[in-house]
Amino acid sequence: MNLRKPILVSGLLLLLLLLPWIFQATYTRHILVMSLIYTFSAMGLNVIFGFAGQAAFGQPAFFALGAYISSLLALKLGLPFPLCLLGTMVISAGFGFLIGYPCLQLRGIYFGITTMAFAQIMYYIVSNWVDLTRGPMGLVGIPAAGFRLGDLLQIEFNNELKYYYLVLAASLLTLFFLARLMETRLGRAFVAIRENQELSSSIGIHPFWVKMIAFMLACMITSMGGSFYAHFVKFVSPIEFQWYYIGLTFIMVITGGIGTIVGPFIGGAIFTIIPEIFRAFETYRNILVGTVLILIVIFFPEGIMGKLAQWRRSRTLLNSERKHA
Amino acid sequence: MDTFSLAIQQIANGLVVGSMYALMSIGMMLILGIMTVINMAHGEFYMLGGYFCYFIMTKLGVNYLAALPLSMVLTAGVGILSEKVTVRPLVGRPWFSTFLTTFGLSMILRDLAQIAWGVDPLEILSPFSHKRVVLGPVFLTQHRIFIFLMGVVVIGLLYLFIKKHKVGMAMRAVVRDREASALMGINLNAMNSFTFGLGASTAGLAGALLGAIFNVLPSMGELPLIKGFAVVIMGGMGNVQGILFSGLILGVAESLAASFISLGLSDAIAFAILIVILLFKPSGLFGKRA
Repeated sequence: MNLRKPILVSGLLLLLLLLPWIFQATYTRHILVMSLIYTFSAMGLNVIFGFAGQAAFGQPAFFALGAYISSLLALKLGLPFPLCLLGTMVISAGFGFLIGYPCLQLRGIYFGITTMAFAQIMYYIVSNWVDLTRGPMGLVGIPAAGFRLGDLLQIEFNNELKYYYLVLAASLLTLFFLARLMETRLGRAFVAIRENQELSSSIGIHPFWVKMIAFMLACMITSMGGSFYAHFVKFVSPIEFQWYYIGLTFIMVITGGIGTIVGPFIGGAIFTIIPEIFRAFETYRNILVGTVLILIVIFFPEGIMGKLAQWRRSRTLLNSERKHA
Repeated sequence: MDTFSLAIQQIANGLVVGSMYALMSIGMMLILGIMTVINMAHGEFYMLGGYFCYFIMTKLGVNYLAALPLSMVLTAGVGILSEKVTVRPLVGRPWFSTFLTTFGLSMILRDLAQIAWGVDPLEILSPFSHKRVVLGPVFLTQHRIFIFLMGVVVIGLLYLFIKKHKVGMAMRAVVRDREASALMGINLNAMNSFTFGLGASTAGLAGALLGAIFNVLPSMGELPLIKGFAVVIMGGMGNVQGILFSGLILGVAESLAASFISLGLSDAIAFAILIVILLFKPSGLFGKRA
């Protein structure tokens, strides 16, 4: 999909705006909001894994971390929602730096497993630091998202519909930001490092710091999803750190199309809805997600956007052959 | 008990657990080195080893010493099957593909275990569990000594196998150069199956041995997996001794931390060590990897 195709883009935008009116039940609206929330996870992972080509396996854990940071900012410091969101982004980027610094000393496979190890550390800290996080009991009573500017403007995002538009606006902004970013020097540096780190450093790209920026950016975007999640569901617990979510985020990115701009957004939306449909099989959900992950990696690694691009390439090839014939 | 003898006692306990970390990590290192696969299901092989041992003992009435090799054979079987499903179809694809498939496999195995056998911990009854041994200031059960000896002996045998045996030499050749060793007549598919089976069986042995101390439950493989990675990175790739020493160091550091710092933080020690090593010696304590 090309962001420069105005008709297609505005049609899709209109569809996204109308979705909660097509599905009016509270429950379906709830799922719509959740699927937008998880697009942040997918977009974040896509920055480091798709664009910069670093398989940061533990990175999806920043969703849970973001949820915790945002809830703690609201509960302990009593900050209003916009500051919670902003604080979460800044603090998560900080954690991204702290974790990225040791991990990025390594490359490839070793980088991947150490980020995974750090995801596990976060899980243990959150479940054991009972004084701060209430451990396995989780945090409750997280205030709803609201926005207030003096007495004039006051919005409370207290139902599914309002929250849908809030998250939609934020996720589309992020998507737009990423699309623009990939056209800048920095975005191209991400791709250069993915394709060939040695060559990229020979043209003046500093791999360590570019990867660091990608990692911090990924953590920031992912944690935004966590912040939206916390103020929507109003409850966070260490369960959010489970492998299930890490696996699911990878499924989202791969099905959507690794390294494409819109792909992970689509994958994120689809793979929040599908597990909801199979909610009745709660006991089997890890088995389902595990199986889907294996099947997708083996049989569908290019993802939806990759397949589309393939199809378009073959079509243009066909057309040009016809012209020459 | 004074501080000094407490420390000695904790070092002894740490060596016991550390030998099992090493046993876990040996398989992970071999799989990583030979196949460039991070086996995320390794913790589940460990878990299955524990369950197999438990069921062989309770259902078949076999004694513990005979149940150990039997459960190793069964986990090796699971390992070989796993390789066929999650690694074989992905030859020539980026390395993270197999991470994701073994990750999926790990989720599947853990939940299958939970559905089949429940979440309640089961206890493997070792014949040596309750016999105490006093070595100077140190009290250990016979079972702990047995675990340590098993760990060291199995790792020693693996070391000799890799150094001297024809298959072991072939393994080292594959680590050096996959294509060239295939040209020299090494069957890579058979090698992969063998490596996975070997890795799974050693993990299964660790599960069956530690299961008699810590009980057997579906999620028991989670921490040993992550600690196994820490040990692999600490040891640096490619040498068995490095893994053994790193495992023992980690075990001792943890049990000292548990009694002198805080019990809850002992699991975090692995990660603290990991961070320090990554920052100051990314090639590992004993490694030559660039």
